[in-house]
Amino acid sequence: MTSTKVDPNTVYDAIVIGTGISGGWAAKELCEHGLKTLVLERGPMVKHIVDYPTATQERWDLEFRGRNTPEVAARQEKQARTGYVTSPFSKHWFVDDIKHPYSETKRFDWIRGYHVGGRSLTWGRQSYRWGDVDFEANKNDGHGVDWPIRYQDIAPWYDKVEEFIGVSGEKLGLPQLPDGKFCPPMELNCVEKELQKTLANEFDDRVLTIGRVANITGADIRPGRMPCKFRNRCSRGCPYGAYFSSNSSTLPAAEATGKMTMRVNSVAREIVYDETKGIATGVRVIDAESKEDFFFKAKIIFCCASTMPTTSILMQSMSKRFPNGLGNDSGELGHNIMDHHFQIGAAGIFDGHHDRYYKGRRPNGIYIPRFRNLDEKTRQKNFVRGYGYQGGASRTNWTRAIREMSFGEGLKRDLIKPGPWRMGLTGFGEMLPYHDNQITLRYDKLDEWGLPTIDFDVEYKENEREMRKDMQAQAIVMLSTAGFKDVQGYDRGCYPGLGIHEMGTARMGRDPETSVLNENNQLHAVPNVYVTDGSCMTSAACQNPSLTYMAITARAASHAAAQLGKRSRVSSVSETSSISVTNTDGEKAHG
Amino acid sequence: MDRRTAIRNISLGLGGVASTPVLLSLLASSTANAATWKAESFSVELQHIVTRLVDVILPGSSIPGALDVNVPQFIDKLYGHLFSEIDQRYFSDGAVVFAGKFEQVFKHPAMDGGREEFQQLLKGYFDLTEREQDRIFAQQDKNLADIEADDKDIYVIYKFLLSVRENTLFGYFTSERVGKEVLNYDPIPETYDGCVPLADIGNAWT
Repeated sequence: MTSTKVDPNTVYDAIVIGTGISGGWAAKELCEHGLKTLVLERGPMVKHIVDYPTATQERWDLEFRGRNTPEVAARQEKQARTGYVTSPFSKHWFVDDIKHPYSETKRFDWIRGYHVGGRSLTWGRQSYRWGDVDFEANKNDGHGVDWPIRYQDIAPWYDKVEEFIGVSGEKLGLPQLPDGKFCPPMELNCVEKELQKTLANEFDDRVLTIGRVANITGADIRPGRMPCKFRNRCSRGCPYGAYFSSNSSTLPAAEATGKMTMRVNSVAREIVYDETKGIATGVRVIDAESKEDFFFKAKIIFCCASTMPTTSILMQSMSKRFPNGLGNDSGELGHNIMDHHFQIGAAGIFDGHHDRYYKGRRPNGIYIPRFRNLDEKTRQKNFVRGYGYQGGASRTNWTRAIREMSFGEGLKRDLIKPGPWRMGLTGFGEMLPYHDNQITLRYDKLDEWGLPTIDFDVEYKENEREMRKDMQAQAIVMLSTAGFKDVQGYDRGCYPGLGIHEMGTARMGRDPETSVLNENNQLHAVPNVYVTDGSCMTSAACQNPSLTYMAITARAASHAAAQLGKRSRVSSVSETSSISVTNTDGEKAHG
Repeated sequence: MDRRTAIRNISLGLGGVASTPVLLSLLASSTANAATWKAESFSVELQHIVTRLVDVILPGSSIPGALDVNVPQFIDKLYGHLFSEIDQRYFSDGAVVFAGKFEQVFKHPAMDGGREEFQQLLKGYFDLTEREQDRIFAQQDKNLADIEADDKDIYVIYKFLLSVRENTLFGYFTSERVGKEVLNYDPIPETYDGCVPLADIGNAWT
């Protein structure tokens, strides 16, 4: 990938703002449909493989073996709330909180990566489809507004995305977690199989499966990518390209078309609206380094800057027609923020399989799909929606002895052996869309580019709190039933944002009066502006959302290309198993 | 806990062996300053105390010990660059109180103390019932301001000793030599097998 000089007089077919999970997909799809596309990234270039400085490092290669000095830690106090992303192995993929400030009327853990690839480099890679129970949830229980799409609208796009990115997993035949196009599943270990057996034998509503994860397995390789080597170093960037990221996959595919121009260090300030034409004409950009202003023109614009930045850009795009932000006739822009809630569950020791171990570091855990509020039989009195569990079993390492006072040769000999098997389950619960969970822009507190900063006013409410009780209780029940010892429930507390699944601020809907986007992710009132990152989400479900962002983006890009009158180079969705692209140049189909 | 009991027995065992004349002479020859390297941040005395304790916590044998992988040097570096100001203060204050205790018990400065003496003193602090240990850990979770005046010495001594212990484990198990030669190092596993005989693997993975 290269970043090039952009001629401000060129009118691009499309501008894509952002290069993360959504932006990469928009770039690839638009380019493959033959559109001349300008891709803007606010941060610096990250080239696949060559810009992964820690990919093969070990702890002993680092001066402090993976810890940070207080001076270094002080630059990322908010990012550090995760407890893991600011490790020296991955801290360069996360923002400097002092350079990129925000404020919190209520605590919000806003975890960001500003560079080419965004958080697609560091994502958890868990890839689950949503089912109709999710797309129909708002309609059925009256929270939020109805999704304008259903599972059947997005299913073929899930197919396309899974086949391209590579998702390893097991088919289950569950309506609430539809099966996909999977590479071979990774293996459960002996203790995880024990819990799987217990759930199959003792519970009629639960199954345990291996996580569905965007790492390639088996012989099914992709261009420039190799199967997983089981190093479990994914979040540093994978030199084998074994997991999906924009850098390893979508951006190279976009570049291969010859249609992509990428400009890095380009902070989108606003989308310019032409009142006479009733459409957007381009994007105003500040060069992050020189602070120069530019205006780049395009026929369509894809907002994929990630939820909060996309929403900020729209809010900053004020005009006579849209005094409260571009496309914000409904007043819903910046509202209805959702995330998932987690940090709750249980863990226990398995007293058995002492003579068993595993080989390799599996970059994946187990998944227990949602089993609450799926039908009358599973209806809960105290909360709506549901949750799933992630987790896994492993044998403990030397850190098991930290809170002890043992010492001597015996301690050393003990700790070089694997410790007991321990298994943990963490619930990931759905959060409802609440209108009063919102961001506002602070023009009294500007960043170094002179742009307003965000204030968060977001909280979990009663439904989430009630659901959490069940999340902890059922984790304890399952582990106890399976014979685990010392089963302890835990609730580490959780603030919105920490799930790094923030979404919902420019929701899709059927009614322009209560939503920002239509069923094709166009702003209701500005049809050449598409929003396909997390901000488009109408509800949160309980599954990790990235796969859905990708599918929605691919679907919207296809729509945009058709609108622009370009003939699709990938002739139809049903042929998407082929990721190679025919070389017919795009031509106008309908003038 | 099984391991705690086992470790207590081993410690007692070593105590018995250590009274033989041969060992005593070895110990005598090693009562000199343990330092053969120049510390970045530690005083000469603190360097000596930490080195002795580290050696007692994870001693060398046919399996490398903490001194074999330069753990005291590593803790010196952590102390200088990684500890917060408050942690530095706990560490150095605790070491001073500990050194005072040492002198009280052995009637000579900690600076001249041998391995056996440090082991004996550490045993006094660490060889506790589980209940006593839990009480100490609960106290350690509090802030100094919330500690009774009479308990402050004990509080900082444990801050120091537990920090040395934890960082000895950390420095030892994250060292290249232990990672590659003692534990099982496999940087590119290629496959994941979820259930294999432990006997085929041996020690824990790095």
